[in-house]
Amino acid sequence: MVLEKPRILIVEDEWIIANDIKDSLVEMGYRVSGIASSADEALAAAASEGPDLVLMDIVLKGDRDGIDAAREIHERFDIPVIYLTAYVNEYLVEKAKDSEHFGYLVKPFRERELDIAIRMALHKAAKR
Amino acid sequence: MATVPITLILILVTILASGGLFIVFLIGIARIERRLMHSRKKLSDKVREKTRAEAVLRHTLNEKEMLLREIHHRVKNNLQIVSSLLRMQARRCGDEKTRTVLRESLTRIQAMALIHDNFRGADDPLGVSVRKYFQDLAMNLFEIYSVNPEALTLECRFDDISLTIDAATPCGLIVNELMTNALKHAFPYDRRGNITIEFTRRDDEITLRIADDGVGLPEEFTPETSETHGLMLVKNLVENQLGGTLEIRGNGGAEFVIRFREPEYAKRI
Repeated sequence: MVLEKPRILIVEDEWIIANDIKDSLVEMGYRVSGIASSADEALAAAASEGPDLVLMDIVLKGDRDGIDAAREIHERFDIPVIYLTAYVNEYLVEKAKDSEHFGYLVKPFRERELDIAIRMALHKAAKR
Repeated sequence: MATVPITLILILVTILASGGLFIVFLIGIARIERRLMHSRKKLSDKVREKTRAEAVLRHTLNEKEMLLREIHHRVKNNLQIVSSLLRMQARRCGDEKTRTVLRESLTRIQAMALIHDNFRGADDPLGVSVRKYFQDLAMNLFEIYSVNPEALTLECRFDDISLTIDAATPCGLIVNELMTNALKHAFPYDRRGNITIEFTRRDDEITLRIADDGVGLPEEFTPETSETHGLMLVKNLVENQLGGTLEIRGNGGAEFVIRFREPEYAKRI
């Protein structure tokens, strides 16, 4: 039996960084279901593509941040979310702590860190 | 005329005199109290004024600290975008030589970006923690060059030093070049070994030592005769940027010892 490669949605408002992450994920053997740059786009992509996992940048374009989007994605679709952030801000950490999430990576992260975080999140989500 | 006993007169005079003195004493006390109250009011006005000034200062300081963090964040973000661009280009490049050049440029940019990640903050606004920065830098290179941690080990010895950004930038680039060199050339054919990075301070002299126990350097090696651009970059950064000295030993591995005094922070604006 061949196991399907997990499909990942990238939510990141820097197009270049999003595509760099996409390349890394493909190299690591994952499939990328899409790239979204705002909370609304992320929700639409989660509804239409049904990814296995979402990599969510916390600071996004628009009114809502990644934590708001992650909360809604979890409530509506029960998809595990890993937060990505370049900015370790106490307020954001506290806000993120209250939301259901499966990891928190501070950018710039190494490919290996990303791979481990994804594998652990998928494993944890499968066990629920 | 009735006679009044002299004793009674004396008593009356004493009472009157001491009563007068007492009144004078009370008036004095009241005056002192008034002066004291006036001084206390002036003092509390001054304290209030000082507290207000302190609050304004603290607010300004917080604002400046926030701005400084924001600038570091933005610089880091921009350097990360450049890194992503180079990495994407390297992945799509068919030519190995070009890929190597892109990868080397990528590590140089990341060496600089990491400085902004390791900036210490308000308690040391110009300081970069040597221990954390160079450990991050070395681990980053180990990942980029896909080093097998069982074959090649990293030994770090750091005094508790923080450098100004003016010194941290050239030091970061120097460590980046020398470690890249070691990772590329010192351990061919999966040779096992060790790379050491040391950062020590004695009085105001800082010594940076990077050594490996790999294949060593060619005989009569000098940065000028070296084929790589990296070692000339190291020599120039040591001598021209840090105003320091570079010592190279190539027997039984390679050893680079850099000594410099930390340059004072130079205002740019």
